[in-house]
Amino acid sequence: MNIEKLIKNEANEKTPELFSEILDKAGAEGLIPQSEVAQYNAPKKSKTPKKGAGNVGFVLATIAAVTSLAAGLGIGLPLWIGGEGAPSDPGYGAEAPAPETPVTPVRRSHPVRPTSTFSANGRF
Amino acid sequence: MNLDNLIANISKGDTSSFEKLYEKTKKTTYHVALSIVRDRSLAEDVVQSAYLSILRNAATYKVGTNANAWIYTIARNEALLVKKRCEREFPVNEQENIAMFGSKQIDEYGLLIDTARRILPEDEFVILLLIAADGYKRREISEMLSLPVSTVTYKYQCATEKMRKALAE
Repeated sequence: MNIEKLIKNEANEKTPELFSEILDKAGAEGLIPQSEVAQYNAPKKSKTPKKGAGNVGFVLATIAAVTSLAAGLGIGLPLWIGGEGAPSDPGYGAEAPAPETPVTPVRRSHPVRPTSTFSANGRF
Repeated sequence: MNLDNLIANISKGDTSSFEKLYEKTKKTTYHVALSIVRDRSLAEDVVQSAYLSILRNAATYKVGTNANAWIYTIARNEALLVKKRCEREFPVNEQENIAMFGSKQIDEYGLLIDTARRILPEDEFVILLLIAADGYKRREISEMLSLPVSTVTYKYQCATEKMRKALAE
């Protein structure tokens, strides 16, 4: 068992990160100018966009373009991209009409026979 | 850039040098603090006050002397102050007051550091962490702690032996 290696790994995981707190206190005590503390605490701008962020923007832009094009052409769109019944539709949320029941008569291929019953004396 | 130059720049008000010094020495400072106060949150307090003390006293540091030993001494003195302050406070059973000593739970330290914290005396604990976790050479530690190299080696061997036995049980 290599205790040195194990302790090194564990210590690397367990060492706390306290620099911003130290800087805040130093700023409060006047050891460091407040402007430098604020500069350090300001969120740093990332040069590389987050993975997936560009794709989301592209999808949203495409949906917006398709919706406006369809509205211009008078084409109905499915619900999920703003067509009839979508939240923006004035009728959204209204109770849906009950479906009409079919009134087609049932045709029987054989006449209905009377059910057999016992007579009072036990005969048919 | 070595520690001497960083401390010299800090005394001139260079914050980026202060950040570099912190990154280079934070583990050592934390382990020295932990070896004395034996509590994670108190050790964090010690680290904060030690670096504030470094900022305050950077101008008094003599370039060319041992910067590691200077930082070690500041961290140790801050830790001893905190320990003394805590000893004056009334004793409370830690196990019955987990909320008060929440950060003292074993899982937050990790098994090895917690075991070392419990079974090793202060000097062995700090030597073990300085060698194993911070990667210092025995010669460097002997300069930091003002101990002969042979004593550092002996204490390190004692510490690793005790750890092996404790972990085997």
